Amino acid sequence: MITATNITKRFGDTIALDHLNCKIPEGCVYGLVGSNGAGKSTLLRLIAGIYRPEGGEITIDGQPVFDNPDVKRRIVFVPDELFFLPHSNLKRMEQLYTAIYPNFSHERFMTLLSDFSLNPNANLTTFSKGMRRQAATILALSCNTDFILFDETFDGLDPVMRNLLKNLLYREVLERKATAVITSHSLRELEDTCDQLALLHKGGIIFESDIDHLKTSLFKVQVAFPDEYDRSRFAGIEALSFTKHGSVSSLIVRGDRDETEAKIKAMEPVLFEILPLSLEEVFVYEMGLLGYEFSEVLKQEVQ
Amino acid sequence: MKRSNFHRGFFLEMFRQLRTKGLVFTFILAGINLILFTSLVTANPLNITYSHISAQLMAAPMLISLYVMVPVMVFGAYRWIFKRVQSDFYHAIPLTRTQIYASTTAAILLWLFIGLGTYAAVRALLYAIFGLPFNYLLYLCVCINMAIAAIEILAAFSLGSALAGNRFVAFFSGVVILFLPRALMEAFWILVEVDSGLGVPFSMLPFFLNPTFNIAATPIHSLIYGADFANVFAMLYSAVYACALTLLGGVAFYRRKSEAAADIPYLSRGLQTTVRVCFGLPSLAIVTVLVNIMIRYGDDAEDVIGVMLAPLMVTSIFFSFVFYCLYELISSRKMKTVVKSMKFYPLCLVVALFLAFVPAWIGDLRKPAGIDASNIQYYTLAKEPTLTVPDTNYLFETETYYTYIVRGYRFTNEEGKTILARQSKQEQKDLDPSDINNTKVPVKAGLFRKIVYIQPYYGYYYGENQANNVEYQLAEASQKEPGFKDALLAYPEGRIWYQCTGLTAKEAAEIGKLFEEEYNALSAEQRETLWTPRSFRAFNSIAVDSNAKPLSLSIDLYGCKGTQNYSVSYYVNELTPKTAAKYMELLNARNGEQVRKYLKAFVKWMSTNSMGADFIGQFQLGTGNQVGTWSVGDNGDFDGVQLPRDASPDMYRLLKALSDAPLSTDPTNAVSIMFDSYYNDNGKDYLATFEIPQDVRDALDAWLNPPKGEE
Repeated sequence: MITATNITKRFGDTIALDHLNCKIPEGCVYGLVGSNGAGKSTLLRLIAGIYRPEGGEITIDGQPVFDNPDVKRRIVFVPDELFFLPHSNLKRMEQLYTAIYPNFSHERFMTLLSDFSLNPNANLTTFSKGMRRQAATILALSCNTDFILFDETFDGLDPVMRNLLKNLLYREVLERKATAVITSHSLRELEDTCDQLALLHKGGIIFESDIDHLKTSLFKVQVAFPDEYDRSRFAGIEALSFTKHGSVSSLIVRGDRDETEAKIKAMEPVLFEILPLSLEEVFVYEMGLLGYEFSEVLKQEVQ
Repeated sequence: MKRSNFHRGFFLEMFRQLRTKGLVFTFILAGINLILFTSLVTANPLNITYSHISAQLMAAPMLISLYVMVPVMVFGAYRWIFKRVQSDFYHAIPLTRTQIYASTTAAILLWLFIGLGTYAAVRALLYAIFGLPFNYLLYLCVCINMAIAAIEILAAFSLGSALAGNRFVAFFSGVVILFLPRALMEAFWILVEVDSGLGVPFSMLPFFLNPTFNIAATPIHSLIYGADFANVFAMLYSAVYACALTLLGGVAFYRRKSEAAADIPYLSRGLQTTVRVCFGLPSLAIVTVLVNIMIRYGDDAEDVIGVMLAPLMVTSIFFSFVFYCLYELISSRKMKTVVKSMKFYPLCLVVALFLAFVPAWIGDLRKPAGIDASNIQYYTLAKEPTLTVPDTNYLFETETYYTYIVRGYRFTNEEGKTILARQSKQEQKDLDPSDINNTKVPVKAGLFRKIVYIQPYYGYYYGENQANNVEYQLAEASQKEPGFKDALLAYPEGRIWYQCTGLTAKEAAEIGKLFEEEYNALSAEQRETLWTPRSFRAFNSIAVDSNAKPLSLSIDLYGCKGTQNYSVSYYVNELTPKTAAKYMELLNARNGEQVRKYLKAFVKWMSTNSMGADFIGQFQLGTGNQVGTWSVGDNGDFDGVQLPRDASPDMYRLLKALSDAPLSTDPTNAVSIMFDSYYNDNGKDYLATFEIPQDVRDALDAWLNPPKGEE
């Protein structure tokens, strides 16, 4: 498990992370979402052991990460801007990785190459942005590490490649019990990929939850009654919002779906419908409860 | 489990990444060997020189290549720490920072050692193959020094890279780390010297100031003025210093913030201020010197300098400030940083003033008191390293056998002590501190472990002739010590190579063998007469042999014992008859008729005033005198006789008689004639010996020993 305890990171006068705490369990795909400057990449680099925190500690299974090769050899990091040796090809990069990562697998590298249909002898400077990201992913996955960190993973990938990558990630998680930590400023991107999500804002995690739980515990109810009613009719239900147009009202409800359904049906509505919420809608309501304005936290998303 | 600080895989990877630069470095040095090889193959066997035995010349290609290639390699290996993308990758890999630093350092060092080693081995091999003089032990010392220099230069630039956020700052930080401490120490010492009015040769400076200690930081001294490459203690010091810098680089690298890539303000505030001050300081050197002169001369300072002080001072400070800001601007590219840094500029002024005041103070303390001869326990003579230019004949001028013997010899003779005591009192009285154009005769006197340096001055108070006179007196007095004289007149020890004008190395070796046998059979008095003036050259004085002879043959010995090189010249004359006869026989067989041909052509020109087509050059009759040469020819650049027959009838008679005289192998009846074909035959010298015709003997004597005032 990756544990960040009271992590503080400053760049000059700017505080990038401010006493951040989080726990990332093993065997899951963990998403970090936030607007630009929220601190996602900084957190990822701290987990990768690139940055030294000014305060707090990042550990993996109780072992500190920074300057600790025993732990770092369990991690591979794919940054937002990719690095390849000048004028190199994938074969040369394989040699570099082999020299550094003890568990690098040539067989896996060859398999992945064939999956992505990349030419290992071609100069990487001739690759498109998407192909370069594929190349970086192949190299990273061939390292057979327990933790795979992706910064802005799906940038530049076409939908087919995106799905291929997602499938590979799932395979890593399922077959090897690996943990993938992914950052993105796009909620939609992470919605169908991650098991857990954390929302970063101004150097701290303001919201963290299991996605399935998020989606099932928060839902929208449309209901109508023949007589006049107001919000007080739903006293036994945790309604996060209530709007009424004519006799039809909409509620955002948190709680057990079946239980809520039973309670409302017992009120004998003339119209009753439960609708799923998009992850974005879930976030809007959850953050509203926390006192944050969603459009402030995820500016990019709204734009 | 204990973790190693070295990562083999990363080391090999770095070694591979540096292969282009490493091979270029190796090829550059190999190219220098190729030039050497070509010059050896194409060399005239009669003109083989012994110049490559010099430690400076051995070291120069290696040290200059290191200054260029080490920064290139360091910035090649550490390019990733200046770019965020690359920095992220390398900082994320499962290695400790110490492992990265140690493995990278080892990879660069391996390439440097490959280059240096290849160069050293090939060069030594070339000399062995061609059977040329080579001081292998000295060369080994030079190579060890260069290996230490490689580590030090590498450490300086690695430390600079670890401290800085971009290459510009890293490069200048490396330069500052490598050179500034030594430059400041030397600047400080020079000011102390000037203030105390004492001059001390670099060879006698305290160890941490002596350029021999830390050769990499003192290229001017080590490559031009000469450092003692064979000093083991100095090598140890340099090695420890280089290792300390390397460790410091490791600490800086470990503490470096990875996010500093391409960002200047990584440096901590204290460190950043130090670097700024270091950059601001050199441009304040003028101010330091001006203030120092003001302290010493007070109201007369302007007269000493010859310009108005105030405007010069203001201008210097202004330009220093501009330079300081310019550095900040180029390194940070932010005006905000420049403005913020301005408040630290006064620190530069404080340091500059410190360097002006403190030496003046120490200088006052160090002014020598006159010493009595009775207090001098012993004295030693040391030669002052002088500019050594590769030259066929005079490369070893500063490394004569005299200086080889004199080094470290403790003189106790009363005459020498008296001269020194008188000199120490004279200095107090006649000292002219403003005259730095002096000749130094350093003398170390053991007086309760106190060391006093004494020197005569050229210049205002002490004329050149007077200075030479004192030096000559001291040299004469020193030679009266029996032990020293015996050592001086003994046949040189060690590996020896011979050189004789006009003969091949093989022939010279044959002559040398004969000479050694005959020399060892001579008495001390006879041996003394065989020393040529060159052999007696001690530090700055030149002992002159004014007794010119018709036969002038000499044999040059180039030798080395241990790591010490030396050279010595002996006359070959009637005292060594077998040597002389063999020498003349070989010379005459090769050159006799050629010299006669040129001689006849010249005589014809004198009689007809019309030059033969095959004659362009000059003659030298006899020699054995360093004061002047008796040459004849048509070349106006020489101080020779260029007169036609009517203007110089005696000369015409002399040369005409010699042109008809038979060749001689009798040292008691021979005149040596050397024709220097300056304009043709690739500048060859033709030396032959002729019998002296009886009817021109008087004319020859007159030419060789002109009355005083006609030289």
